[in-house]
This record gives sequence, C-alpha cells and structure tokens, in this order.
Amino acid sequence: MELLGKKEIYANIAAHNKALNAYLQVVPETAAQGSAGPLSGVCLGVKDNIAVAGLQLTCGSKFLEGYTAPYTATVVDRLTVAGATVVGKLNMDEFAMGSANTYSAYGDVKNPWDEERVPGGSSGGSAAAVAAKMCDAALGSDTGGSVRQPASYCGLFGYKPTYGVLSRYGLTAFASSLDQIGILARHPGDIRELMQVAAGRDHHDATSIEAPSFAAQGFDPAKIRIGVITEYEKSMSAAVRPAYDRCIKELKAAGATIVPLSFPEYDTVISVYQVIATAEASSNLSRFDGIRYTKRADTKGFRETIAESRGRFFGAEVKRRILLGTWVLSRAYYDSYYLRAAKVRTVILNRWREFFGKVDIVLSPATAGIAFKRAEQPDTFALYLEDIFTIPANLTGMPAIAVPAGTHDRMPVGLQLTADLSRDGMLLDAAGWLEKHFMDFATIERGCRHDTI
Amino acid sequence: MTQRSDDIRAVYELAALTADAAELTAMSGHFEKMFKHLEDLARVPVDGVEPYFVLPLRDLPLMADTANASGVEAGIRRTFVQSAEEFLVVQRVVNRGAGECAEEEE
Repeated sequence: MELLGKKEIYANIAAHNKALNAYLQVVPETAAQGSAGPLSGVCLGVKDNIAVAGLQLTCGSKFLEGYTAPYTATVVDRLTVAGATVVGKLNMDEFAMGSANTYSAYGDVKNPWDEERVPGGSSGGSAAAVAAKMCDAALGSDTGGSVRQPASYCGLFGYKPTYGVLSRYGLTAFASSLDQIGILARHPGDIRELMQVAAGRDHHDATSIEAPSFAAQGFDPAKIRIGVITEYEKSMSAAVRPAYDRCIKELKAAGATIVPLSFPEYDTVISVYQVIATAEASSNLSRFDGIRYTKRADTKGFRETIAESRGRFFGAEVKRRILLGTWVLSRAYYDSYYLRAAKVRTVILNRWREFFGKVDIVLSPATAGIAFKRAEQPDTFALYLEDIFTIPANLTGMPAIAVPAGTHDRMPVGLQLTADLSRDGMLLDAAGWLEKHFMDFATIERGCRHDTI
Repeated sequence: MTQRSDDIRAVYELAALTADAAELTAMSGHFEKMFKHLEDLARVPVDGVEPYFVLPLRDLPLMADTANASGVEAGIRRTFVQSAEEFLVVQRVVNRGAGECAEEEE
C-alpha cells in the first residue's frame, strides 16, 4: 500500500476535519499505535456503525449519542491484528439511510472537492476522509450503494464484496440480507491488501463464507467479455455519459468484447429495494427502544416510553423507512408488497445470473450524475433514485466496485464494475487495469482541493 | 382525514413511534408518492417464481458446526434438567398462607 504516514494523516485531520466534518471521533495520535504485521502503518478510518471496542458507536444518530462499543467488529479485529491502526470513527447518514450524508444527527459532511457539494452517502464521512487524505483507507457499509456512491462522488475506489465475504459481526444491522461492509481507498491494490486479511468465514456470522482468492491474477481485456446494459442509457446524465463511452472505447481498443445486455426490470430495483430494505430495517431497528442502551425519553408507562423515545430520537428519514417497512409487513400489504418484492428480487437475481453466463464483467455508471450541491438537494423521493445503478449488486449479493473515471465540471465521475458471485479477485484485477490504462489519476489527485493544501 | 392518514396513524402505533399532527401530514404526502411508485412491482411477471428470502447456493454450515460437529447440542441435551416436554409447561403457582401449607404437610 502507498502509505501516507501517521504524521501526515494527523496533520490533515487537524487541517481539514473541522471544515469537512468527516470524523466524529478521532483517536489521539499517541494512542493510535498499530502492532507489527503485514498492515503495519496503515491508518484506517471506520464508519460509525461498525463497532470498535472503547470507541463511540453512534450510527450518526442522536439515539446512540454517548454509546461506546463493548466489542470490536470481526473485520476491524482482523485488520488491527495484522497491524492496521484505527484513527477514528467517521460520520454517516443516520443508521446508514441516505445518499448525501445530510441525514446525520451530527451535521453534514462536505465533499473535499467542493465543500458546497455533498460527498454522497451513507458512507460520506468515509469517502471525505480518504479523499482528503485523513486516512489511508476507510471502512464503510453498503446496503444499496452506500460505499460505491460516495466513492464515486469523491473520486475514489469503493468496493462492495460478494455477500458474506466480509463478516457483518459488529456492523449495526440495517437490512441484513443486503448489508455488506465495504472498503474505500485511493487504489484498488490497497483494497486487495486489506481484503487478503479481512475476508473469510467468521463463526460470529453464520452468513459469512470462505474468502475467494484475492491474489492478483493479471487482467487481459482481450480475454474478457464486458456487458453493457442498454436500458441504463436512459438514466445516465450528460455528466457521466462521456466517461462511460470513453471507457467502452478504451476496453474495445484493448481487445475486450463488448456485449449488449437487456435488463427489462432495471427500473423496478428501487421499489424492490425500498420494500425489502425497509421491511428488514423495521425489524432490526426495533432494538432501539430507549430501554436497553439508547437514550430514553422518560414518560409515564412502558409502551409510552418506548414510543416517545423512538419518536423523539430517530430522525425523519429513519422514521420514514421504519414506517414503510412496518406497513409492507402488515397483513393487508404483505402479499402485494413484501412477498411480491421478494419474488421480483428472484427475477432480478436470475437475470444477473444469465448475464454472467454471457459476460465476465458488467460495466455501468456508478451514479447517474456527479455530486450535487447541498442547496440543490433533490427531494427525499428523488434521492432514492440515485441508487438505481448500485442496488442490483445488493439484491443479488454480487461484488461491485466504483472506479473513478475522470471529471465533469471539476467534479469526479464514477463508473462501476460488477462481477459474478465470488469473482472479487477478478473484479479488483479489472479495476487495477482501468487505474493503469484508463483513468487520469493525476487529474483526480489535483482536483481534490483538500489533497493539495 | 383520508383513509391513508388513518393508516399512517395505525402504522405509527405498530412501529412504536409517536408523532405530532404536522409529522403525520408530512408523512401522508410522502407515502402517497411512495405507494404510487411501488405499483411498478406489479409490472414484473412473477407467476411460479419463488420469493428470495435467503441467498441461494449457500448453506449455513456454521450452525451445523456448532450444534453437531462439536457436540454442543448433545452436551446441552445431556445436562438439561427437564425433558423437552416439561420445559414448555408453565408451572401453576398457587398462593397459600403459611397455615394452609403447614396443614398440607401434615
């Protein structure tokens, strides 16, 4: 890994964190001591919904203000045992619900490229910290694109592994069948090194699986079939289209076979995601009741205390999602919404399996456009549509990575590569090839204002 | 008050959340829009399709490892003080005075 060094990282935190609001808690420099190991010297930022014993775990919510994690997430544990140092806990949309990092109870995170713009979400703090060189890499969580979308908005690589490759033990559950811990970094090689240590089965997480190989195998585009989804062209903005077209052209020139694919269900993914994610969230977030380890609104009566605590300390977006989830699980709505969404999810999975019978990688934009200005934030509903390209990988469990692909209007543009289940190593090989042959990394580096101060 | 507003109030209660009138009105607009959007689920034919509740092509070997291979389950059964049938029976508690107890013992 290309390490910045602890001194430089802490200097960057001191210089930029106040403006960017990326870190919610910073470990004092004297206490940030890593052990000897293959990741010795790596300074890691951790999203504030991933447990690190002794550090806060707020999930960006007022409900968990002052709460300290009693144990460490398996992923963090494996990385620190290998020598990495946790530098601090990173801001996020409350309970990972958001696409702009404007739903944190602890203030908005700013995009290091342009502070008037959002960094994306929900792992906005993770993206801002890596882009502004306030850590070497950061952990985020990705339920519908929450690692890849902010990575794309901040000019980074954002990787969501195959479901189960990284243990979810210690990750605060939002939607358990979709949640995955992911990594944001400046280079895909950095992600590979972290994955070699962090991936694999964990007896604390029954859905974890054996790690696929992360060893670099080399990537020859001439031997690769790249799928492009024709329906996606309708949802791409003019900001993203040139980078997408240029990437296809470069891959073709290098010998790759480009295969058009049809995904007729593509515009239903938002609905499927909204139903399934909120249904699971309504169940997972029932543990936040003001009784056990959260803040409490004291009123008379047991039920009243729970309802008042949840009503007062959950933010509006979290409530919207809990309500929708409760609604679609209710008797009158279950069949026509939840069950139907679960069936459409199967249709989508079958469609993507079919894709990977024909191609090795699917190329798409990571986001429809570039990071928007906070003052121009679309309404809640329009914000949900931001995730249209990233959600399929969560619904199918497939690995995907956001790749920086140049700039538009001085802001980064991101593309996305998706591969079949457990083909994570090949995905990182492909991202590495793009970094070397396609991406103008110098432009990316210069563009990030906080990078160069 | 529309039917949906009444629904929202009921769902708030199911979700164990309190809300004031302004919040209920705001949510009402949001959910009108949301349910309209969710109608697109009906566009995808799903006859004969199994719902996707768990990831296919995966088993959950860890549960088996813990419960069977390592013998934990058998261990639990061996040290179980009651039979499984008794375990689920709630013992009836009868209130008695000290004098009544003494009489029974006699």
